[in-house]
Amino acid sequence: MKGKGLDQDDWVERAVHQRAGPEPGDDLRNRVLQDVRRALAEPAAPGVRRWSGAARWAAVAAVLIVGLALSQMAASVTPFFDRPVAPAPSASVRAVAQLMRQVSPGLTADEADRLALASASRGDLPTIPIANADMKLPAPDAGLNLQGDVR
Amino acid sequence: MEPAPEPNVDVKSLAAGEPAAYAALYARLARRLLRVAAAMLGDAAEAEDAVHDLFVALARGRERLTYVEDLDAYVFASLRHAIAARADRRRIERRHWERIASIPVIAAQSADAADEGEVSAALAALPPEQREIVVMKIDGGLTFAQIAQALSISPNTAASRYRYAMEKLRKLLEDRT
Repeated sequence: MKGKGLDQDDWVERAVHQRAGPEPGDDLRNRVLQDVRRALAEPAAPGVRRWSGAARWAAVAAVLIVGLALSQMAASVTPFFDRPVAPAPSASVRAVAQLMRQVSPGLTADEADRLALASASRGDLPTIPIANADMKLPAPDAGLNLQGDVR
Repeated sequence: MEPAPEPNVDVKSLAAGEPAAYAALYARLARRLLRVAAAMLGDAAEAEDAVHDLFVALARGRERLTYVEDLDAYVFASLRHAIAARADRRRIERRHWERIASIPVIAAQSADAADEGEVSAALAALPPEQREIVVMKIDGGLTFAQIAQALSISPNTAASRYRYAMEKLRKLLEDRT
């Protein structure tokens, strides 16, 4: 290879081209060709498969992405949890309140009504019982048993 | 003395795994590849190993050759990978070598050729991306289009990088003399 396409008048190119460098010897040639023959005896590594049907897959991916974006947008503007709750039937609320007072005589009428309403609203109201001034709170050292009864 | 004409290499024969095609490819490119590898790695033995690795990799991945349009550009691009793998391996072994640029070029220089040593030293002083283009052009005999393909850059970038490198080389050599 003698400086193909080089400007032979350029002394720098000529100097680079003519500098000493390693020459491939017979040892290298034998080593390379021997190992090449060995590699050729083995099955070839899988070649690079050309991407076929890229446009079709791109279209499918685009539709999926648009669909996902639209569904997320719709989900973000849809009111899932602020739908009006149907009014609780007052007769059944009363009945529940009475049942609560029978089961827990310590409950006041207001508290029983409140708990009955909360239960009828399916969780939209907090169901935390409010301590009544008449209720007797357990002594601090009494503790709680695991059955939930106040000792 | 005029060098022997380079044998033609049939890409299809290479892809088909014919050993004679690899022998022809070796006869055609070995010297050019070795000089480029030596200039980049700075070590003749390492360069031989890189050329060896390259040919074995070509044989193993021969199916890929089916799609190759410019064989020389492809082989030199593959040589870059072999050089990078060698350089990485050596970097691990010798941690103080941070970059290929820091490696002195051509250990196997003729000691009596002072001028040639100057040229090699100046070449070694170039940034690796410029040195790579210079040796691919001058030692590898590639066109700018082939260099561009091998390095994944535009031919204009390759040409301008080469021009800057030659200017720098000229200045370095003038300063040294």
